[in-house]
Amino acid sequence: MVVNGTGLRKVYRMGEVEVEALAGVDIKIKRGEFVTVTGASGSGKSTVLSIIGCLDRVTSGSYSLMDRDVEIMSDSELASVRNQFIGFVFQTFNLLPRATSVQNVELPLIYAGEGRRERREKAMAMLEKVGLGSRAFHRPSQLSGGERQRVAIARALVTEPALLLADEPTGNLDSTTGNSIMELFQSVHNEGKTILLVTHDPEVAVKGTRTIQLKDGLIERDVSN
Amino acid sequence: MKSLDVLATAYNSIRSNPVRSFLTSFGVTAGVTAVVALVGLVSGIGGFVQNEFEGMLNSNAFEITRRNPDFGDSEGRNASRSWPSITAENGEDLAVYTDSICTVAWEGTSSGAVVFQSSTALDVSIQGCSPQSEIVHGIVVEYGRFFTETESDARSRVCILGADLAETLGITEADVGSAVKIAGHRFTISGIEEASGSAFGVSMDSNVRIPYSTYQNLFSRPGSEVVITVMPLDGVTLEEALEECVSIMRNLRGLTSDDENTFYAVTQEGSLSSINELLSAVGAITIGIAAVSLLVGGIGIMNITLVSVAERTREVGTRRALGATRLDVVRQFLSEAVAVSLLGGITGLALGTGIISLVSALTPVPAVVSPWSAVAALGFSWAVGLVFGVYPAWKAAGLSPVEALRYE
Repeated sequence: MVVNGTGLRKVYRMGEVEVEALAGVDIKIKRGEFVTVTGASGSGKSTVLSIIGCLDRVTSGSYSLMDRDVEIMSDSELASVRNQFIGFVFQTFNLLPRATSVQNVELPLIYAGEGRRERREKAMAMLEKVGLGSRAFHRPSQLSGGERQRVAIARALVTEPALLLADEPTGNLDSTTGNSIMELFQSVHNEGKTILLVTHDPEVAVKGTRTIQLKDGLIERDVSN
Repeated sequence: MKSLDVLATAYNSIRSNPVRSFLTSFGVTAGVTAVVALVGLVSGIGGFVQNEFEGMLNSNAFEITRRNPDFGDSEGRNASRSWPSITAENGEDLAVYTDSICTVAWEGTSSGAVVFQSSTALDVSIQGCSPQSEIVHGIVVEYGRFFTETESDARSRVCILGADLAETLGITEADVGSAVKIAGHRFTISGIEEASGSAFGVSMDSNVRIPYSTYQNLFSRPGSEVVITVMPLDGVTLEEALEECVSIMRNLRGLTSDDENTFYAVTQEGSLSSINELLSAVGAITIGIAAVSLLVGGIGIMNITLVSVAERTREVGTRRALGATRLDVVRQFLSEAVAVSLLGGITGLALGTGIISLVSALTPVPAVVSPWSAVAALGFSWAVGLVFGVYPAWKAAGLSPVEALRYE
């Protein structure tokens, strides 16, 4: 089991008001699944991604990632779990603007403590894989949106993570580019990667092998495609 | 994260915003420049003054004078105006009572024109010297001789010319025995001194010496001020001689045990130490100025690092998502702050060294950059970066990854 969460509850305090973003969600993801999470804005899909991605902690419930109890981990242990087991892809790419493609891809390997040469080799190989070998020494500002997202995907995959997390990866792209990015996700999935992808777009959602629909912090539907 | 990678990250960040990094570091540059240049100048001037003093004075001697040796003591200076003059008679009495332990000399100073044939030197310092002045001041006569005690007793009109004065007037070895006019009086040249150099840029070889008795007869009234210089004989320490002379002077002045001295007895070390006190006061002010500019520079660095944290909140979030620990984030921002500050320090060291080299090239002051001031300057700029970088770095690391990623 890659992801095993039961009774996940998350309450945010917004000043005086308490907002229940997740109201008790059970979510289990097996190795090799391609799960898409959909729902209206405010349904809790981003919160699910933050919790699963160990960027945030649950208010109650239990969550283990790769059979490791995440709740009891310290802050730096969580950082190391993110680095080792999770690859993140964001809607706004979140590349470092002044670093080249290959430097961006190397970033998680730096935090993994890898040496220069191995870093460079792995990052170059991953850029080749996403079809951007020729753009390795360009900065993000010199790349198109689709190319930027490919760099971000290469960065997410370079550590060979157990789980690839994507938050609206096509949200800032036109539909053609979006489609090609989804094709990339599918080919990554076909190689055996476990993927969780958050999207509000039903057309994107059906590209996964399983779709979880959230509403008001609860699972409304959980179907295989 | 490896330390080398931390440094590489800091370097990239500084390089990506060179103008801002440079301007930020400038506060530290100003502070370090001030420290390095002023410390170099002060110690250079200190060495210079000491050197000049050593050329001017006999270190194994002390002066009895009304002149307050402490530059800072204006109260003492005012009090000394009401004291009785130090006179040649005091000198004579001291010489009589202490002749078994020291040699006593005294000089009075006036000025006037010296004329030799068709050459004239205006405003020459005329020194009335006691017979022992030659020994006490180590006067070396190159051509001819110093005046004798007999000449002194007879108020003879003989003179010894400084080397520079002789040269100015065109007087050579062959002219010893010829006549010169000093302030309108006819004198015989008895000797020409060996050149002894200059002190504080003023030649010490441009005066004319005549016997004190002659001087008193022609240029002063009885009871006029002289400076007495005392040199202990062999086997007598400076302290013993000083103690004895002070006690005799007190007796001569009829002071009781309750009275303060109405004269100063000053060794060369005394004069030097009061100069050094003055210089160390200047040094303290310098350090104050430097501290203020380093503080201002540090606040500048903190300000820019805070801006940089705010600007790069999403970057912090991204790095955290990719596996950076809080410690990694702290190290990143801290090393940026330290690097900017050190950059300022190194620039300041270079500028300060430049100023110092310029001063020592263009002036007689032998200013040098002392190694400790260079080390201290760099150490301080490192510390400034560390201290003022801690808060922004801590602030950046305190954000939760989710908050940082959502930051707009």
